[in-house]
Amino acid sequence: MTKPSLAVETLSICSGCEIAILDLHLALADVLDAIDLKYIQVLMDHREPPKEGVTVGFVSGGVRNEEHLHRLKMLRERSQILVAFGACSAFGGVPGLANLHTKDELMEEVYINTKSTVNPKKIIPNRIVPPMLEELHPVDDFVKIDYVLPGCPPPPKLIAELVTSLLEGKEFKLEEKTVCDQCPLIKEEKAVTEFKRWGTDEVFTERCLLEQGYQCLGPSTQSGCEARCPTALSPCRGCFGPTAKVEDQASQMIGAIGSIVIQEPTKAPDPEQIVKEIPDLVGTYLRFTFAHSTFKKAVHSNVVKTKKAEAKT
Amino acid sequence: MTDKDWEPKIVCFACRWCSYAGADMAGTSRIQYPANARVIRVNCSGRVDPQFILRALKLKADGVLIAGCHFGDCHYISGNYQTSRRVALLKEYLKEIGLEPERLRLEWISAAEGHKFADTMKSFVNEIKLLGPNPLANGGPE
Repeated sequence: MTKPSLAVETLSICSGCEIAILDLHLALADVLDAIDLKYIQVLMDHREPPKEGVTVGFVSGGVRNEEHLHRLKMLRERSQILVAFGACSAFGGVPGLANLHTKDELMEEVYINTKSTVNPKKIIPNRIVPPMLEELHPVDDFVKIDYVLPGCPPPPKLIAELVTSLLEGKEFKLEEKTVCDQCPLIKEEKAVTEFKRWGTDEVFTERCLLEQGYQCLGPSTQSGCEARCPTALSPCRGCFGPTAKVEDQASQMIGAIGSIVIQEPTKAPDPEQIVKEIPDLVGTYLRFTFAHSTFKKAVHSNVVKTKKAEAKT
Repeated sequence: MTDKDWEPKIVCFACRWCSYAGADMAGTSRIQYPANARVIRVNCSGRVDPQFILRALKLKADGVLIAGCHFGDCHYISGNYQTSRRVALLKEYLKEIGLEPERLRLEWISAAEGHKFADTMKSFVNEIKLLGPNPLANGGPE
């Protein structure tokens, strides 16, 4: 019997997810015994996945330009099972926040406006490089995905679990729980009087970070990471994306923020005060999932645009 | 569809204990108000999940109105306080993604305030008419 084969495709991404595969350490030896690794750019010098096809394809990274789209479709054709590997391929990831701006705005900012750029003729590259798409897409916008393994990067333990269950022909599914369910910090009472930015105040160990007023995305994030960040006393940033039944991580967090404030009306902060205390809602609550949220990209309404222009002048 | 024919579509979430009864009051008192709203009865304004509001706007509703009990009157004690915080944050969220925050409105209407319900409808419909259709309709603005 031939060994099942694996191809790992790298799209718009930092390659951290591929490194996470190497992070299996000793388990990697067992995995390599059982699996024939056909194509992975960080390890091998191949240009594309083998033509005869592979059993499993991992795709990491979102789709930002036409080359990505071509390579994604090629991998889908050549693999029997396709896994969205990492937050970027599943939800767009941090690069998805670029969807707050139009393509032209991004090009202008990067190639003309940044202070370190010298471009007197204001040339925006458009030849040789593959054309950019209007916005960044998670891979399920274009192809059918069989499994999703989120995380930034996915924890090695889950990668091993996924590979084993695929080898044994079993279904792989993350438990429908939130990070809070796995978090060891103590949750006492929901009585926040003030929201704080991370790093501006003392952090009490062993106490729920959200109840201390920090923006921890535990209540809105799919579990599976064993609450790595809150265990190390750093707020959850939501890299596992929303739980299966939720569409928009921000809506879940806004719902949670509404109810964790102290109940007594006289002690509770004003809604306007709360809005001031939590700057950059999209960047905080949809850091990894903006390209997969309800709106997926900025709306660019003409009314808001003119208002912005008025404010500038 | 020309601009003249256009009538805004408004989704209204009304709390069962106060505002829905307030809308009834407006009806039984025969107060005239624009018929643009699709009223959805919820048990409490705190029951309105932020996802409902985002989904309504994504599905091209021109405005979303949430009506609940006055502060201190909530049947569930603190539901309307929670809603007030959520709506404030949601407005900020809408602003960040480039949608007019005015499309979302929160009003406190008691069961006796049929007039206030009608007035709110009138002013909200006028405001939305000034803003124009939801930019997501017809594939968004040019």
